[in-house]
Amino acid sequence: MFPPSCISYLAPEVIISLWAMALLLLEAFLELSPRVVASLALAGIALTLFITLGLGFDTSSTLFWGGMCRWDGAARFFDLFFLIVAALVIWMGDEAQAPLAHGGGEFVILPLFTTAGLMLLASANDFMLLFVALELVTISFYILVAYQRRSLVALEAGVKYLILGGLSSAFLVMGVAYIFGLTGTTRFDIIWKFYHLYGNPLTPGVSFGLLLVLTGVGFKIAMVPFHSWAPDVYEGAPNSITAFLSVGSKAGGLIILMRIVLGVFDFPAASVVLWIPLLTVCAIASLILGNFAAIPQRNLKRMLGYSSIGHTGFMLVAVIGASVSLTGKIIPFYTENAYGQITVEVYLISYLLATFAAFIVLAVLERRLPGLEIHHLAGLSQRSPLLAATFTLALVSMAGVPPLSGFIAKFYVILVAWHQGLYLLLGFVIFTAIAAFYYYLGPIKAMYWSEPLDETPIRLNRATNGVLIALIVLLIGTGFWAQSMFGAVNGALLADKNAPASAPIALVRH
Amino acid sequence: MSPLLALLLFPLAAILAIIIGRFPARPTAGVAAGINLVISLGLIWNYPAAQGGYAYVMDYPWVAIQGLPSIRFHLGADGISLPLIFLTGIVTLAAIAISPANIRRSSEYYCYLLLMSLGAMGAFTSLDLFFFFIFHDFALIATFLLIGIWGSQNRQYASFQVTIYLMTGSLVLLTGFVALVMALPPAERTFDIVALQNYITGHPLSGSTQDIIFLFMLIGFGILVGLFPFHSWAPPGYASAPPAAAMLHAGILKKFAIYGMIRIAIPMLHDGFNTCLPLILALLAGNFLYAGFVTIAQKELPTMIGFSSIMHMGYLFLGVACWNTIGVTGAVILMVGHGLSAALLFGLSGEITNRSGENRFIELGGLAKRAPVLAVLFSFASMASMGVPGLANFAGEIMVFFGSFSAVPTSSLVMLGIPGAFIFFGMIAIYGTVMTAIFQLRALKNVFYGPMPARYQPQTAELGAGGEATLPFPGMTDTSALVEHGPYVLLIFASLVIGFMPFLMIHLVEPSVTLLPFIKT
Repeated sequence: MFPPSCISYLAPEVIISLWAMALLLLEAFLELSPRVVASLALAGIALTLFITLGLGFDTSSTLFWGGMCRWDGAARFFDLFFLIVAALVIWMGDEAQAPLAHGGGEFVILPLFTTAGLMLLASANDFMLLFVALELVTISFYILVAYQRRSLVALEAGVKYLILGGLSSAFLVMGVAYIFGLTGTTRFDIIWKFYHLYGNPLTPGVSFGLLLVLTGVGFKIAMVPFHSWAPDVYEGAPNSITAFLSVGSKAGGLIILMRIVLGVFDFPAASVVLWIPLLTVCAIASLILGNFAAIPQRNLKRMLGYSSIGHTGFMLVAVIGASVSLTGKIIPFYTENAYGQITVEVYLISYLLATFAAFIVLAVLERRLPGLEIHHLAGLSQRSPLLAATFTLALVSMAGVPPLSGFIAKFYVILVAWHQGLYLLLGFVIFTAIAAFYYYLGPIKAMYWSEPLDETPIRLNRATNGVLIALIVLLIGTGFWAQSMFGAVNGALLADKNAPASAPIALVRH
Repeated sequence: MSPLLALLLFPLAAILAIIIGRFPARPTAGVAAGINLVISLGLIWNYPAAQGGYAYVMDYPWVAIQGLPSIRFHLGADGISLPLIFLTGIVTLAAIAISPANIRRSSEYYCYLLLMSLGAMGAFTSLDLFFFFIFHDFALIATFLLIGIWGSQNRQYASFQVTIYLMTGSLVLLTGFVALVMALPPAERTFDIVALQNYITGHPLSGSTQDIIFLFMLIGFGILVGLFPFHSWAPPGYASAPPAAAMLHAGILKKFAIYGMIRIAIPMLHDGFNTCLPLILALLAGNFLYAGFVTIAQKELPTMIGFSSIMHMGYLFLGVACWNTIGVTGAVILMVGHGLSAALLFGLSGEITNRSGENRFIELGGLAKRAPVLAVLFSFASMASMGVPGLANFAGEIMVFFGSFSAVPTSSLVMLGIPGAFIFFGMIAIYGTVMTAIFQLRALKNVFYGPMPARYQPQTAELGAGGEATLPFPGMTDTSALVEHGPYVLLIFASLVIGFMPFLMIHLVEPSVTLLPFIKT
């Protein structure tokens, strides 16, 4: 009853989950050292990456598993994205940061489960699968955030994340229930047809359901007003997990946001009336709060937490810009609204590079400096030019200074906003991008101008050196040779809803 | 491949050699800058000046994604950009040469200087809006670090102020560029300046669109160049910057904005330019009158020079605003002249401050006795800045004046009831030279001539009774070494050559200027 390709399309998720389970058992019975587990986990990711790359690269969408999952360009792109994120997280957890006091094995294995969940999210075509995948992600994050359970800060972060995460999941499920109750299905493509082909009006109940779903998603991407967990959790979680949350969780939230608002509810009755104004307000609030609240922060992890809220705002502008309803006509998928989707993906690539560059530096510094306040960075450029240069380039890229990759991302956000006539948002984008310069320059000032308190040079091992240099090269390279980033996202689009899906469509009874 | 690429690759190679190869920083940077100067002279020599237009073109697709405007790595130079390329070459060499060899963290310092030069070089050689913009912008980060690490007085405040102010300007400018590209129909969208110009010449944008986009660009470029009232970043920034950074920024990088007006804003958005003309003229009058009087009131040498460089932007804007051959040619020549004189003044003011340990006029005086060579050099710099005939500024300024007197007012000026507007503003500009003479001569007098500060006089006399007198300004002597004065002599020499033989420049610049769209003879 399934098309023969369905297993192969889900192979990455299956392999990585099985690999993680096998590793858990092996680690328990053979008493492997964390380092060996990490190497095995990385090998598993490499294998999955290889298989994902080998999967046919057709941008025509394929529905499988009775329409639960969808394979399209965006799913493939996000699968690869999450695998790279996971590899960096596992490497960081093992190599770059201070060894954990207890139980290193799970700390390396759990991110594999998270990754499987994120990858499932990327190809979800059904609210049920979406919820299950999201819970897999969230629950493994609960454990990872509070992993250093003897530290009060970590416990506080864990409890905050648990309570707010639980609440947001509850909102999401409630919203799904409303949508299911009023449309009779949880499948995205059928809901789309319900409105587009059969021309049903959008009832208030479904609008309310969509609102609740957006609340749940807003929590994942740290969108104002659902952002309050971010700075505390960022501060309390281990560095590798903070980076994972910052990139992985945000990208996961964004892909489901795009699948829901762009893939299902992108028609004027829902978009122009409901989610575009809503997301516009949230984007403006995220831009302003994220970028201005970061200014007084002295703790680097908190500062990056607030800045990640600001980046959510920038990406939301691109998501809004991807809506086809803005121009008032349904236009062929590949030309106009591809702008917005490509911009979100390019933004995520540059955000990944800059965030990991920053957090790897912080992870290395955490065990060598008395703390992670800005003034602790004083004179870092004399103690370790490489660390200082990496951190500087990461911050400058986040600030959007050419020729780094962050500039390309912001440049395309401006392009999309102007193209779609989002002038109000454009004004806020520029205004807050300028405000952001101020706090991104602060740590640079400390690293380069202030005299070091402690003159001893910081030595790094060869692997860390290599990864940092690779990230520097990528930050500059993807900025200067922007074609590389666009090549990576080429065709990485949500499925064209006008194209016939390969799976049979269930009858809609209403 | 184009020889222009070499201009970008030599500084880049030098930076890599210094960082990775651990080459000695100062000689490496100096050699790279010297090679660039020689190349730029060769390019001018080889350029078919009589016919104008772009030469040394190289065009390579950079970002080509279906549905998105294409970005090309498009280099080229014409009679308008070549003088600026030459200016970049010579000022970079001078800036590197005047920097102290024993400056702390010297390898970083010289790398940042080279980066600034690379940014300016890239901006002047790019024929693509995207690269034009990003080359300029990454020079700003180098400026930030140079002011922050090696600056004087309140360097922290100044570096943040300059960087945030200029980044604001460049983001406004970027919005203008995006708006311009997006105003075209989807199939024609491109960031390539030549392609854009070709398309827009045939299909001008609607009037109101042009007005809005031109206003964005005017504000963006205005902030970057220090057009009144967007100038407040410049004087404190230049006063705090290390002399070499001030030379590079005030001498070269700021010209980016005027160059952008000539190359992009006015030709492509000519209706918008005509609408905004009264505004431009009013603002440039602000540069002359407001910044001019503020300059006269300054009590410190570096701040005064900072304000004077703001005031002189008025001439450049006036020349561009005339949009006739003689005015624009004059503006291009004046860009070179002002670049040389600003670099001289900032370099010498740094020299005076370093050697005497003072920069307040009230604490200086009579230095010519102690450092006669420095006095001569500073006099030349002041004369150049004043526009004394025989130096490059004069050649440019007089052409700008002629341009403003022969410019025909546009309808928007006539509607405002000021048909003689250009002559009126030309008069203000001429008055500007008087003001320049006032503050430059006063600076010359206060620093080099006149009595030494009063508080030294009785002190030396009393102490002089018993043996060796303690001299004021202990470090203030003239060194006879050519290395120390060479860079200034080089800049003065260039200014003299252009001043005495302006036809060299006119032959180079004018044919390219006549090719600009809408230009009046």
